[in-house]
Amino acid sequence: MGEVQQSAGARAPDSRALQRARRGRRWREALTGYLFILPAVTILAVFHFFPILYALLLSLYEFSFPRGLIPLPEWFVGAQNYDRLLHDRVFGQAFANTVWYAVGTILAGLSISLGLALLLERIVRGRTAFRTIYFLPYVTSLVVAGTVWQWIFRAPDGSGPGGLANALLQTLGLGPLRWLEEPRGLFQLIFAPSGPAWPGWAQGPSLALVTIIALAVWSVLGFNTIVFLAGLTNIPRELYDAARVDGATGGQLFRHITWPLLTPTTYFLLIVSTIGAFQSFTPVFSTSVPVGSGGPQNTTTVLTLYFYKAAFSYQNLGLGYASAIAIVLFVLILALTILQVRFLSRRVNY
Amino acid sequence: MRIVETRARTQTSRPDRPAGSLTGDRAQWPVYLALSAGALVVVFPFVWMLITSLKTLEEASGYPTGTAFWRVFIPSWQFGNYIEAWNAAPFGRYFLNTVLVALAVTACVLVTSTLAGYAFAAIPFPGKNAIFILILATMMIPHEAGYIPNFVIVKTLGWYNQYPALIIPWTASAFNIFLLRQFFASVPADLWESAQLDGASRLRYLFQIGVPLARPALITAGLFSFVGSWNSLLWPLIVIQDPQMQVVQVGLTNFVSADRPTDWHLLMAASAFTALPIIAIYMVAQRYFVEGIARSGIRG
Repeated sequence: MGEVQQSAGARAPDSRALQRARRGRRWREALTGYLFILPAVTILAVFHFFPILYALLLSLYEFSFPRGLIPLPEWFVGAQNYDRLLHDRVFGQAFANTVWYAVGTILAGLSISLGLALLLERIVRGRTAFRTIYFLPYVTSLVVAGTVWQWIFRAPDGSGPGGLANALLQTLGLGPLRWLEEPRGLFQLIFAPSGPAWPGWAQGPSLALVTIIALAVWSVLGFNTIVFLAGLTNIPRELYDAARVDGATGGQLFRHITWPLLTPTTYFLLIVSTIGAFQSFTPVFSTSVPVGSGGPQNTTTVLTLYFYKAAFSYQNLGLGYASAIAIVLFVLILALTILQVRFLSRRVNY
Repeated sequence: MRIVETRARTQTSRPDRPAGSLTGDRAQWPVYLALSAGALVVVFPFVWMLITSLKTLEEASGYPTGTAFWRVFIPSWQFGNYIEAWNAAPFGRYFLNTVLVALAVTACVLVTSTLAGYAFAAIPFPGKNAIFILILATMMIPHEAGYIPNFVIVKTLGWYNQYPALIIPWTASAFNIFLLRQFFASVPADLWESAQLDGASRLRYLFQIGVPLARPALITAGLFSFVGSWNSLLWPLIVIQDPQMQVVQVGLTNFVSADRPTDWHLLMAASAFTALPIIAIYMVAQRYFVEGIARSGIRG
């Protein structure tokens, strides 16, 4: 209860001894604070923070095997790796693929889960059961999921139509698709399947990439839905009741109450989804046919996969070059996040 | 229609009562129907995986035209596939490695995150906010960007193909520090003050009072840590070459990309038992997963 008296404001000035004792205690407290955060900060600094700077350094060199922490001076090539990147067609394609992949994953992921959350919000009984089911893919190994995806979407080979998806198409009287092995773009397939090939970008993401997007959306659906649901249940009911008294229709309720009050949640999910989409490796890796290859004509090679291939696969384009790819990826994610924070935080209502 | 700043989180929020309708108080069965359809789609890959794992190779590979479509869903219950798949690669060893690594990582993460999370929430020290923001910033860094430097570090330290390479870099987690800080920030300061009057040090307070209070948050953090470690692929792929030290996710990918034509029935069986432990844990503790996520999302 001493606190109450102190905050009243009227205090006698402290003696020197008291001040020194207080300062001493504060230093000891601060020391405790530093000690407490030391293990975590050390690990994060050494293995997560410092590596970015180190990767930047390594990207200025060219080498295949590390020989100690300091790259040998004769390996130094300056900005040559970045120059190589600009002229690397596969890199350009990987960049485009990554953008398609991110756009697809984010748009589909957020809209579908918002829909699910809106539905879940309207029921009470069974909500937990549905939540449990929808969240299951999130904890499932993406290697397992990717493998099953490969199995379901197997392309036709000599012995038959392929996987379950094609078997289903066959039963409906449609022809089989090559799914994960199909390099042609989505838009081309929808609008001009047997016509001449459209120019690069116009074709859109390859069917193979779209199949992988479906996998990615499937796996994060539960996460997004649960976050949206939490945001929805935080909107006070009185607002809806009051609006309905004024005669608002469902669409108006959504546009003027639900959506604006959901913006903090949407903002959070947008940022998290963007970072996740650009960092995504495992689904792409485990669904490439054959595994880890990068897909038909490199159409499923995203930047993370290209990074892996450059550094660790038989292609071995050099660890310095791979570091440059990683740096580009990092800068890209950083820039997007900063852009989102700058331009979208203003439109968020609390 | 101006919706004014009615401060949200009031007592009358009552999250259990649905908004009653964004479209009007109509029947609920269409909602249940749509949700059930969605649930079926979500669950289907698991079901298909299990069905295939119980077929023979011929059954799994063929869709002879002329047979009814629904017949593909009836397997011939080849439970022996699981034994065969288990023996086809050193899965026992893979599981041992994976469990060891995941437990070690989880234990360490819990310790480091609790200490740091509490300190950020409750102990005043200069530079606290700046350091915290830097820690949060590391969540934006794509892991891949650090993999080559970490690879070099690991090789230099002689940890290549050893457990430390799999464990040490992951013993701290910005996300879990954030999670625990949020929790400790909600603990009233009087608790510490009265403990302090009783002569407790920060450490004793943390372990005797803070930690028991934080059990739900700790369970959530521990679960996410464990699952994250179990499901990780790229890093183990990079730092482990020796099959005896390999983890189960990489073991599964090796299974797929072997040169012989794929034995899909065995592969599905292997996928099933690889995914099973985490799914089992999830089923038991799903409340902690889901509520942990919901809570972190609201704060935004």
